[in-house]
Amino acid sequence: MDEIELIQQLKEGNEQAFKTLVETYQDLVFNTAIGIVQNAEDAEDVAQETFIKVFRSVHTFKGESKISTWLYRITVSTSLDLLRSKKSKKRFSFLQRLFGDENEPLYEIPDFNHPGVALDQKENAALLFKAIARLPENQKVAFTLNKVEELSYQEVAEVMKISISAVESLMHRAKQNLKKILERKEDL
Amino acid sequence: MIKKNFNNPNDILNSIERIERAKAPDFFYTRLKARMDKASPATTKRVLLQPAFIISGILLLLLMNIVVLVYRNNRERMNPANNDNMQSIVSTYYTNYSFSEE
Repeated sequence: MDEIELIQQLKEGNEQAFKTLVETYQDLVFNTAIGIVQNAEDAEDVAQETFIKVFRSVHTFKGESKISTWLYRITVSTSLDLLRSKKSKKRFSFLQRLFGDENEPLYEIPDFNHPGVALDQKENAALLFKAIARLPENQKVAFTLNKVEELSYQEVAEVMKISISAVESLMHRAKQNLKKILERKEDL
Repeated sequence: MIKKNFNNPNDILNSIERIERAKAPDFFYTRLKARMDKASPATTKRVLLQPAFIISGILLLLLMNIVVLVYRNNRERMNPANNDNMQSIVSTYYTNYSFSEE
């Protein structure tokens, strides 16, 4: 089944087509999400949310881009939404502590071990992912799509709807920032 | 034995060069379907709150009111005995007013 046929059947509400879509792209969505949210449970939650959004909004898909590009966009925005909501919860719990509610512990980002990292690189990769989590959103997305999902600059540009030179600039700044963060590792 | 230099930022940056893609958990589709099925009552609620449904509801209420009014008018016209009751009410509240044409 080619992409156009798959989308047509999805628009008609064909459940088998939806199953085919999920089984074809679930690893792509999950790997992108886990690279950004850095937690397997959250990544599954994001992946489910992404496919639910696809199911509900497939009638708006015009076919101007590939299905994978559309899925990457939804996955990235859903992942960033989850990170923002966690951040605001963290701020709220900090305020609760300030105002004397001692029962709630402050939320700490645990060490993240990506399941695809080679055993001998796990320690370094955990440090790198901690540093990636501190990057600004657009640098984090560009770096994750390029390094974790192994997309080319051209593909990253399509997903992020920016020019290739903008991706190059984001990647350059991301690497500079990561080096700075990693040089003072006591902060990690 | 080669000692790895974990402190070199470049080594750390290169640590994910040959990273493998993480796979979605087993039975992902089954869990996704269960979540979608569970969420369906909310979808029904959302559909019911759409403008088309709200406007139809209001129009239905108006129609029912009109039907009741027309029905009552017809009944009153067919049963003039009710006029006596109206006459007594009017005479109680408006002493100068009379229903009879004099």
